[in-house]
Amino acid sequence: MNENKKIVWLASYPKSGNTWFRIFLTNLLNHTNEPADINNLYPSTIASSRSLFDEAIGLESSDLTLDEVELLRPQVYRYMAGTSNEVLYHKIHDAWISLPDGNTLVPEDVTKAVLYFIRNPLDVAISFAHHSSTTIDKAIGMMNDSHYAFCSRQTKLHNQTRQKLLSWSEHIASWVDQSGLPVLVMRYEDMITDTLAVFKDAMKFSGIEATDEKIRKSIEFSSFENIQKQEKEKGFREKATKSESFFRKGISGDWKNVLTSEQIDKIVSRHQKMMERFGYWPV
Amino acid sequence: MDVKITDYPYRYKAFNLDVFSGIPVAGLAQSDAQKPDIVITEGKTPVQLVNPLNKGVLFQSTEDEFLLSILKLGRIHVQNGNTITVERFKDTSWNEFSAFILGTVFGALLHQRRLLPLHGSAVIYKKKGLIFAGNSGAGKSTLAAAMIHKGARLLADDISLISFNGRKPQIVPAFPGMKIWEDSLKHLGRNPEKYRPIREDLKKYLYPVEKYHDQSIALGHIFVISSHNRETFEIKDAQGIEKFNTLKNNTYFFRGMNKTGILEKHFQMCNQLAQQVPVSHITRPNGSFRLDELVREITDKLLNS
Repeated sequence: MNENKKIVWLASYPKSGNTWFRIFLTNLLNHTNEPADINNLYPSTIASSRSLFDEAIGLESSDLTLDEVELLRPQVYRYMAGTSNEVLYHKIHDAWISLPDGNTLVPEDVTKAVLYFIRNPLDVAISFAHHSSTTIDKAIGMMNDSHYAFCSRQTKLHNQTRQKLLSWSEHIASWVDQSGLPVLVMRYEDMITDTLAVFKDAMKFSGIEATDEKIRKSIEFSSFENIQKQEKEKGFREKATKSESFFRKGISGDWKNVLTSEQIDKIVSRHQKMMERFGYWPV
Repeated sequence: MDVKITDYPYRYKAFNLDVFSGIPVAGLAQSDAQKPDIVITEGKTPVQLVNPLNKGVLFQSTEDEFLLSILKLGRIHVQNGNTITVERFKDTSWNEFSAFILGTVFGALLHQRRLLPLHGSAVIYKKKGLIFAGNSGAGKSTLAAAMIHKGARLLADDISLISFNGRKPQIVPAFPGMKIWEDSLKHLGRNPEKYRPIREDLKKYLYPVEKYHDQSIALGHIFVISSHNRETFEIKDAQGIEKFNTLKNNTYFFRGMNKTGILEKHFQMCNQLAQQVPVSHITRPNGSFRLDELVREITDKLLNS
């Protein structure tokens, strides 16, 4: 095995269970007998973090163009893997993309595994709208847009580098079909209904040794009730300023109560193939 | 330094140092000095350093050498705290190098001179030297520009150099300009089209500041700016070891001198600073900038301290 294959990517389109899993993982890697602080998650640095980039590069990324930063990002991950003695976990919302110089944003030579979180896009739309403090129609517009990107405005400095998400279906295809990386797909809905089995699979796939007891305990510590309670008491640093809470409902199937038939049509007509493939359509 | 003056058509002042340069550097003040502290020359640079102590994706450093590779633009080699060599690839415009020279390159050079550069912008406000430190994007430059609007004068943008000549730490003036993003310029009521971009393809502009103070001034207060996802402003004074750690963490380009002999002196300076100057953390809401309120938080704090 290539000794630099140290990064486990926690990849997903936004609002698909990634943060919940990171809380579980923090509890698993912690050696305490109480729930981990949701504001101090172990795999806390998102791959698009500007400070992570600046630290590795050696100059201020604010003096570089968005395209220059993107071209350097694979080298940042190689640098991180090359200077770390342990396995690294990084959340990532970027789609897996090829860059103009022939490199890929996420280099194969530093990738230990990819845990890819996927959730019914009909539910994602609602959650994404809440998170972005926007309407569901606008959230659907973002999910259907092949050019959609986070932090792409060029007239100000964002605290993260630009992340090209592509459309919801294209995001999935990029990681699952095109990357050629070892990917384990984890459905949010299965994470809810069959938590132990799904999380055990994830541990096995990413080479993390953990007893069933430890996994069970970490699941309990990261239960929705537990993390929602923590957010109510102390807030959650990853919540968007304008949204009311990050951990809102934690359920699947809410779309049946919330979406209009037009909204459902807009999502299904664009993403039917991928929805069928992952069991979201027909209902 | 003894140099042939005709080789250096450009003479500047930066961080109270006289800079003789063979290439133009946008943003620096002119100088009429006859002898340089620093020379900038166009020339060949090494592809890599011998036995570097620190290595990042684009830089390498030893105690007295620093090498920066800037993508397809060129390379910059800094030696002994007084010599900067710029090698440009193909026909890169010299303008493209200015932002890097005013940033990381000067940061590395100041470390080589065993000085203390903090990552922050500095102003003099009501006779008090203030530093606004923080990560990239925290809003240091925008806040400094807003304070200037309120009657402050600029001392430094992005790199605030501290000197320990005399008994109290002082802020050394850097140069009379700031690097400001288009959105912030508009927020300050300025038309971006009137300013020169710091690089051809960036919407970040060189903003010349007339209200500039060109003398060192006693450092009165350090504010470390950050943001959170709440709607409130918070202000908290750093105490004890936290003060030292805050200064260490807000050192400009700390990475470049890690593992070198410079560290010991650096820690001594941080310690001295921690003992003599108040340090406060200000956390602002991270959505909209709410500049007026941030300025009020700072001025209220100064009134009450």
